[in-house]
Amino acid sequence: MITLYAVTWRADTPDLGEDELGVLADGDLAMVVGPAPATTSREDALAHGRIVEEVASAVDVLPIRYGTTATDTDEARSLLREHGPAWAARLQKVEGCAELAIRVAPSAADEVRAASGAEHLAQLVSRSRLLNAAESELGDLLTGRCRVVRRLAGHEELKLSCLVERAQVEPVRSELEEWGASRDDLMISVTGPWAPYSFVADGQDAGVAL
Amino acid sequence: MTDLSVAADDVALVDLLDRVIGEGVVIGGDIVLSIAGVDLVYLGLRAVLAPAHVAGPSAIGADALAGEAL
Repeated sequence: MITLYAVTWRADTPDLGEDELGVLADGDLAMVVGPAPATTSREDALAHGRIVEEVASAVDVLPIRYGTTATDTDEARSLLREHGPAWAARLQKVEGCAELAIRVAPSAADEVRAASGAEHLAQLVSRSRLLNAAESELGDLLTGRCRVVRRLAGHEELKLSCLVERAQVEPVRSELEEWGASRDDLMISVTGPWAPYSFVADGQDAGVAL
Repeated sequence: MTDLSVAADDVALVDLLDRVIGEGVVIGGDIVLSIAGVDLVYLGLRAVLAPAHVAGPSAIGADALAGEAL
């Protein structure tokens, strides 16, 4: 069994420092593969992610979800052939870009224990309004600076993923952190740049209206 | 300062895990998504940033998994 890590352009075939990793090619595309670990664990998942990030730091990639395996290199190569046209189209959409992950939540300092059910509901409404307003402000800030912005499912927080050109990663991060520093009522975190995990499927390039 | 930087690292780890496990190219057919045994850690920002004695088990409950399809 082999683990599939990422799809890249064949012309960009990455220089892999890890001895156990290999590159399979078919047509214009290549796939980074390695031996499948015997177990699955959080550490394995993070190790998988770090390998993908190492490749993504050098070339454009489509990261493959953790846990995806093929029985052998022949099967992996046939997958590359079968999905090649769709993956090539996807790679073009994320060309030169990385993903930034944004989380926004109401500040913990503003959290007061509700004395009643009604007060608790009022707090939920207030937090929801706060995050909706934050989403609108971030929409204005990110429009034109990111190629795509997706809102991800989040619990009592706003989670956004932005597809950003690599040269814009640090300017966008700085602007977000500056925005966050001006808001005592909100906590913001910006992580990345990551491989474009959230922009590899059909429908993930349209973004959302913020 | 140390606490803040550790917290920031934790957020980054959770964001990476979120993506590795829940996003990325999915291939159907004979490919097996062998995710059994992986601890899923979809935490909210407050749960990640809260000190350990505040973020008890309730912060890592079913709510933390809400809306995250695998």
